[in-house]
Amino acid sequence: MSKRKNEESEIVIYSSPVKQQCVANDVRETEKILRELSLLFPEEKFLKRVPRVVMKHMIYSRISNRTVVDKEIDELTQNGVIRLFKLGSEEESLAVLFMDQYKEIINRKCSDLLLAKKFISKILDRIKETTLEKEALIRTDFSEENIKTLIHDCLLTVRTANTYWFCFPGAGEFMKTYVKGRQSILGVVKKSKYQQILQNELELRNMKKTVPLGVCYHVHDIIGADLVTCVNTTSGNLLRFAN
Amino acid sequence: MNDVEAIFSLKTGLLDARKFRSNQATKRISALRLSNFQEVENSHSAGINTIDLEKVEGRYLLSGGADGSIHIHDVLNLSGNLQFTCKNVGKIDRQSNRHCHKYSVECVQWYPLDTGMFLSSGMDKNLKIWDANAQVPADVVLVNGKIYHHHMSPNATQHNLVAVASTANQVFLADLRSGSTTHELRSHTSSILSVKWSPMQEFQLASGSMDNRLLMWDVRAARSCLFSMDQYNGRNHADVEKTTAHNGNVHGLSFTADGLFLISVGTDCRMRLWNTETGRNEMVNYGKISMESKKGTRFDISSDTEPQMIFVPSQGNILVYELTTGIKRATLLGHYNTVTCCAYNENVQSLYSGANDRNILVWAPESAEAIREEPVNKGAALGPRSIVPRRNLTEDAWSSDEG
Repeated sequence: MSKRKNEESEIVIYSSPVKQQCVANDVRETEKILRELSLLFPEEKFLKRVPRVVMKHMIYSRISNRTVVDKEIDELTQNGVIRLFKLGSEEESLAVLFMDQYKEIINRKCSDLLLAKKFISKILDRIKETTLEKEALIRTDFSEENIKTLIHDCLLTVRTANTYWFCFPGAGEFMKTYVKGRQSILGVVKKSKYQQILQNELELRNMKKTVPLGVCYHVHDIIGADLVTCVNTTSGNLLRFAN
Repeated sequence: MNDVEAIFSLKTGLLDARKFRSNQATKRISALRLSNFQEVENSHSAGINTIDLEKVEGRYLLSGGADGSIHIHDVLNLSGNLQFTCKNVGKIDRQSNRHCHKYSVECVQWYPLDTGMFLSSGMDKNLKIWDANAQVPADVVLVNGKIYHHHMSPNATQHNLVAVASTANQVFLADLRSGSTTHELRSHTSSILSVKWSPMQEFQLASGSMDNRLLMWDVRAARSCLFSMDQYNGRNHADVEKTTAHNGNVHGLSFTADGLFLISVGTDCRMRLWNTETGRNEMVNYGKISMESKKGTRFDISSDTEPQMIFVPSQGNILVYELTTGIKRATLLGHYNTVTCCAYNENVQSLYSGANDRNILVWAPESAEAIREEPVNKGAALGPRSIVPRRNLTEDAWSSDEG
């Protein structure tokens, strides 16, 4: 009896950080939310030139514990479910693509299919980071010509003299619309009264021309990037510009 | 589990006394708010840069201002009333003391073992060692460069060194026994903003600098630093010869009480948790913490709670984070201007914070019951706040009583 009581008290009192993490890990929420967010991406607007991109910080708008998100994203990357790309205006912003979509667009867009296949099996499946050294490419029998083709097909971009970033076809077009869209959404928030606006009201605005990615997509983006703070009110979420 | 049950299981031995304590402390910390009853006497005439609470009794609070003055406050409530103003018991400023700092004071620290002495340093390049009772400096060490921060080891038994962070790109070690600098630690390429001794290993020292690097030193080693913290844990692969801890200046450092972890804040609006043994980034994501200060930010950690909490100033607010998970627990809003420093009092679970608005605020766990509670001594309850007698609102001053 006494032992059982003891155990009960343990659970009630000590919600230690380790236990909390275990709970969050079991649910695997990050992947679920990533899939939801990727469905927000309007693929048809880009005529399938751009895959369904999600920025990593967008997940933070749905899950408040960022450490858990980071850990799960890391795990998903190591398991080859998703892939991270260094992309974006801020120092630490990362883009996320699901691996199946990434491979699909490589096969569709690449000019040299054999080279693409080799790139996937030799490089993508082995190196899970966002950056790549030239040495690793040379070691796996990629010639200078091949590297040029890869850069031309937008699978690599130059970082320094002998390092490259991984990239995906359509990244430039995505970045252009993404930065523009974020600017105009932030402009709306800033210009509204007291620099705050209800999320519902913002989503009702007709901004199809200036925000091709959709208002919902950008709402997650600006909340996750801490550009606005979220305040719960009785009539829904209120977004307040954070300066 | 409520309090009654907890006390009962403590008495019957079902609950460990230490756990009971940390449990209660955690509960109190979660109820932290701007104190209704306690205030610190407003005596500074310039912004407050730094405060330090002594660890011996938890009674005397030291504060240093931007005009070079240093004040000592007695924060212990002996009056028996809830209403309480922390009196200023010592004042070193230009009017009263010719030994005071010429320019802004950037760091003050009590001698870790007793309250008879404290150290202060500032922009006038002086590290002063004060006799706290006589309020005259026992010794002054002149350092090459303006001083942003200094620290004296809290647990050292074999040395008496004070680490001094200055604009001269070196960490100076001043020996209190000889009154002069003994070493210079060179590796940083820009001004050093923060230094801290490890509470676990008395010869280990961490330093953060304007060159974005965070270095760990062993002061006995002849060679350069032990290791440099890398924010990417070696996964960056860029051919840079120096690893960085932040993408901005590293301007605040603090070890956890057990010395196993180190926390750093930077001007890139990030806070990072480091393993002090391996130098690994623990990848805890605290989110964006906006900080304007180009000089140091002094934050504090509550070591008696479970989980441990970090109190970090962010512009006009103080943010409370869980150490290991990075969850934000609270935002303490009260100052009118940028908060620069905070100090946690372990004995009563309250927090003191200093800001550029010249105030020191007390944050205490005051529940609704405490507010309704009657003061112990009603006669003496008229503190300075309630000194104005209650007036009848319908009364006026000009009509006579007789009419």
